[in-house]
Amino acid sequence: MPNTYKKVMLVAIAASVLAGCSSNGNSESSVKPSSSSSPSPSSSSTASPASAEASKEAPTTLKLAVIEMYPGVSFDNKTTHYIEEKTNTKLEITAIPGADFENKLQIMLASGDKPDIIQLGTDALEMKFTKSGLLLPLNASFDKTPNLQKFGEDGIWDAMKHSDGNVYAIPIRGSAIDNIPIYRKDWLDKLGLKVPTTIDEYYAVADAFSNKDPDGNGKKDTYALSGWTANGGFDLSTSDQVFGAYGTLPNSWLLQDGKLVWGSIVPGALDALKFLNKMYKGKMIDPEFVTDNSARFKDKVLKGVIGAPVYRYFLMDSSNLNNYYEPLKQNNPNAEFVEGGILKGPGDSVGFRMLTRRGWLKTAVLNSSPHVDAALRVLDFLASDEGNKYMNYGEEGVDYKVEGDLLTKTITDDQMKQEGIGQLRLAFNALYDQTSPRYRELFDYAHKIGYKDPADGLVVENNTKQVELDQYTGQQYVKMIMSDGPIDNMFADYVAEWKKRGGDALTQAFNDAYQEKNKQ
Amino acid sequence: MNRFARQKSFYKILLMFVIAISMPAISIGYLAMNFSTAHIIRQADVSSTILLNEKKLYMERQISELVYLSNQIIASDEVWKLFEPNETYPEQAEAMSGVLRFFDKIVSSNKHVASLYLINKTKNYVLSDAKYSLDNFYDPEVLKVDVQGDYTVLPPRTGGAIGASNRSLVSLLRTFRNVYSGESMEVAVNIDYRDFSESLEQTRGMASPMNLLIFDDRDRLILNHSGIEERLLRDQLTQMRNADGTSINRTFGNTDYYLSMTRSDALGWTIVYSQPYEQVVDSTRLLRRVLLSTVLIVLSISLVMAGLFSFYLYRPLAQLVADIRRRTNPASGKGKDEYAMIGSAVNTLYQQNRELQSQFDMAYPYIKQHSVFELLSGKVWDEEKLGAVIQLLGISLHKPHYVVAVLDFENTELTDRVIGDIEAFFLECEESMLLSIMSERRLVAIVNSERDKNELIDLFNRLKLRLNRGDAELTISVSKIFDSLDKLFLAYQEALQLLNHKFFVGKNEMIVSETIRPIVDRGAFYPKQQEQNLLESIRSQNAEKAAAALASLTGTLTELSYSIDYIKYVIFQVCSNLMDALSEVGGKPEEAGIDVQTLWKDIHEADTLTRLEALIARFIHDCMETAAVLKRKQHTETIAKTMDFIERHYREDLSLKEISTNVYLSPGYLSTIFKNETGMTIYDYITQVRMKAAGHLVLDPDVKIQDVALAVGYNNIQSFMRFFKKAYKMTPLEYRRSRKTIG
Repeated sequence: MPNTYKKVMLVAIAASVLAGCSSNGNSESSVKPSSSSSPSPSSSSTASPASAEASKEAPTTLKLAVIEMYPGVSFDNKTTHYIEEKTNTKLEITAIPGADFENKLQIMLASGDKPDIIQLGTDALEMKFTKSGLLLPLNASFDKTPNLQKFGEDGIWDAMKHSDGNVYAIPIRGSAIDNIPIYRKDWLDKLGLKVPTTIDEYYAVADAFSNKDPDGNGKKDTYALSGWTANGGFDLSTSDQVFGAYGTLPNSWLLQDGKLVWGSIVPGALDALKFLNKMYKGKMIDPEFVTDNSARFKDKVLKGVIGAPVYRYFLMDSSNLNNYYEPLKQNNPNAEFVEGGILKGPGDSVGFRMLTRRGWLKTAVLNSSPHVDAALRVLDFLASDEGNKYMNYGEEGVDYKVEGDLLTKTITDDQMKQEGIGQLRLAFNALYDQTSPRYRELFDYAHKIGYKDPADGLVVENNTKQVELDQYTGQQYVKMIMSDGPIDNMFADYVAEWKKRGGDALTQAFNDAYQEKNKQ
Repeated sequence: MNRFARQKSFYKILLMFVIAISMPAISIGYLAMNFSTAHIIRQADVSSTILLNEKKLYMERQISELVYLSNQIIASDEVWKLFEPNETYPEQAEAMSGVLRFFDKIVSSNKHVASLYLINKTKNYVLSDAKYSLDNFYDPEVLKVDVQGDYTVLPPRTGGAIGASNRSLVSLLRTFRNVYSGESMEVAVNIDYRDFSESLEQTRGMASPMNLLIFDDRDRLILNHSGIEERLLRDQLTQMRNADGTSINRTFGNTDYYLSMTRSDALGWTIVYSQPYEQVVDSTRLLRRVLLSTVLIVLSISLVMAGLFSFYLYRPLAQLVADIRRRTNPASGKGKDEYAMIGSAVNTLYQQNRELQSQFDMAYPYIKQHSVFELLSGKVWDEEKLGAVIQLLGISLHKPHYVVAVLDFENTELTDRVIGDIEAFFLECEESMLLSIMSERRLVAIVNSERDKNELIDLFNRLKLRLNRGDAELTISVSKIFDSLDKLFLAYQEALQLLNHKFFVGKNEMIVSETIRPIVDRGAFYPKQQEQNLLESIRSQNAEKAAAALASLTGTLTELSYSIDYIKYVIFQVCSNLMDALSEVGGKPEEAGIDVQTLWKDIHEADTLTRLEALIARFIHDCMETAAVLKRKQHTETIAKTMDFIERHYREDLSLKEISTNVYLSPGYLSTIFKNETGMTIYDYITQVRMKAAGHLVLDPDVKIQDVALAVGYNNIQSFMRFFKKAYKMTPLEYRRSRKTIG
């Protein structure tokens, strides 16, 4: 049930993951090499006794087709060798650049070149492959892969489960939510305001941020909100606090009376749009939101143009995760953000949208693989604490050090790439041991106030309409926000048009899927 | 060095071979290598040009795709919306948003396109992934470009949207105008330089990527995969752009590059395919190596062969030269090479030969003469020497008969004309002939012929007539026919003897043995009596008398002033007669170490008369010894023979000489040995035999005493009566009567 917003989040996660991880964390396991206190996966029928003995046998050669995580970096590095040694395999890895990833993968398979392990991007492709019977059900051998089983215990496997009850892919995991309402604390302080808790308070703060020169430069160059274009549509997740206050989230599913309802077309959405239209008229929304993109939005946030959006709590992480904190401080040492909560509004407020638990990238084993055991062995190892830690941070004492509960990377990001740390993300769970305690606090907080998509984990085959519908929604929303006159009719027209263009059918499909899944 | 000087010719021959063999080999190798490089270069040029043109077309197609894309953008609804007079901000924003969506769609659906810009400098905005103003646009470089013509392709540069990682971009910038306001706008299509360059690198059928270098007319590098540092390239780009031809060689840094070039007029780009020159000619290297090793192998084999050839060719030369050196003054060969030495040696030999020839020509008549003398004098005995002499004389003597003629010219001296006549005559008669001028008037002709004696005599008669007609009177003596030259000497002697008969026959005659009364006393041309004396004294074992006879003989010979050869001849003749005489009576001269050949040789070699006399004296002594032995062996027999002879011939008038002749002894010697053996003289014995016979005959009373005397060899009755009375102490009649009484 992917939607535009989720995709945006996927990208964000991907970016964060790519940027690498700083460190902190307990890592005894990686220091001890092969004695491996971790329950060695194995179970490989060939190596029944112990993994240590398994390594004495001739290594199994596995072919992998994975997304290219670090362009231009060879897989002939210490991390790959570490995995090979640990799993007694020889990995022949084909890295496919992300842009062309799914096409190439399909061509590769259709050409008869069948790897043992592949990676998938979209749910659609996963469906396609599953229907073709290409993928190995992973849950069938969970008894042999305890680490893998553990990997998705907290509901991941539920989200990954297909209608036949099988799990075919391992999601690459990060934080489920990165965005929360944030406010420029220094501006609040300067203006003598508090973090708003209701929609009305928010309006007051927004007005002050926009029109009372919070940066004190004497120019009208600050706004409370903005947005950006993405995938041809508009991403309005930056104003989720407004929509949430009105009990909805645009381009997301709501559960009302046991049925899935599209958040963009509910009446609450119209109210929220009216609120935003009012803000726009009151010059509280950056008019360039129509023509900006995410990078420009980030730039504006970092440069103190936008003061009260829903955005990354990375901005408050002094360990500078994904490079938010330091640029902010560079632009203005006094700049400081503070988190806000769900605004109370006229309806039942909802929280902030979360990323799909199905992951932005998935790993699967091909049914045709002659080395299923070895492939599972690799996946199980990477899903283990030891393997995942190594893939996140590398070798303790060499690539990172641990002081207290703070993990510090001792090598540069580039060195990390060259060593292949984070390069082969087959069963990856992003760790945040390197981040500041404040970050981890916010991490927990964000997950608390997040809105759990009731449709997450539902896989609907034909979702191409959804992209078009989302774009249409975005355009109409923009028009309504920027409209000079009343927008009720515009909204009604939009809803009608949305339904006509396939929104009804989509809703039905998701509801069907939802019902079926809940039956189990 | 010395060795080199001495074997100069060897090295010359060797050098010649080496040059002859190595020149073609080296030049073939050189040409092949040279042409192989040229060939490879030409091939490289052709293939590079083809590749380059492919690349050029590919690039032009890529760029034309970009142009096409820019055209699509300019003609798009979204862009035309911008042209509309959007008065409100939402309208403007919506139009721009539409463009941004459009761009996003293009960029996400066209993987080569990295980004798109729409630049409106008049209204101060740039649309890309978002709207920017000119002053905060992330890619200010593009804004600076002044587009000339429809479009410009910008050289690669690094850039990227905010928040995106920097990429290297190649941009096509195209201008267009707002159809309403007329304001100028630009569309930039940015493609990922990596894609662009990678797509250029990949070349069908080539293992390694093409090292391309692309730069535009402003010498800005578009692409540099040449592996040549940019700073090295910089100042040569203009030159390269203006270079003629499709390929040039350039040196960058320390490396030679082979640069194939083409130019895209559409793009204003010069496209260069750079290959290290070494790499281009790399395949030549193998070829060269093969060629080189082939040439070297051929050369080394050839040189070995040349060495062998030279050695074998030089060896006889060296031996020849060594011979020459050994035989000539070593100093004369100094500083000369072998050929010069051989040359001078041949020259010397030739000169010497000529000298010898002229000397020989002068000497030849004498030699010939001498040789004939030698032949005639019998000095040449053994076959080998004989052959040599004949060969020297230059005639072939292989016909069965020989004859020697001595020609004495009576009224004229010998002239060349006469000799010529004679020679001509024999030539006409096809007879081999040797002429020898013995004196001013005497000529000896040795004729070798198949004719018999009469024919030969006839031949000489004709010669004589012929010469007579030339008013020459001559006496010719012709020897008997003989069949081998070793009898020449005797024949010549015979002819000489025959000529002596001229005295009897008269001058201007032919003298042949058949027409001459045989000479009773052989060897009448020397004192025969003395020889007889000598023989007699030997027979009689009287050494003193023999010595005296010898002295007398030699005395006579010297007194008569014969030539030494003649004296020797006489001596030999005497000796040989002596030997004959000894042989006749059964003597064996061989047993005394005497044989004719040795004797002749000894006599011939005797250089003084004294020595000759000593020789003869010894010979005589030997003969006497032989005779003594003979005598001892033969006395009894001789006596018996003599007695027998007497008993058979007592009726005749016997003389001592008759009796001695019968037993081949001299009368005196016979008398002596008879007396010694029997104690009586031969006469006593004859008388005894006769008396004995008379005693029988007288008894017959019918026979007259006178008849008895005749019957027993007495012509004189008184002598018979006396000898009978002496033998029987009575007269015959008394004896008859007394016997009657008894009987």
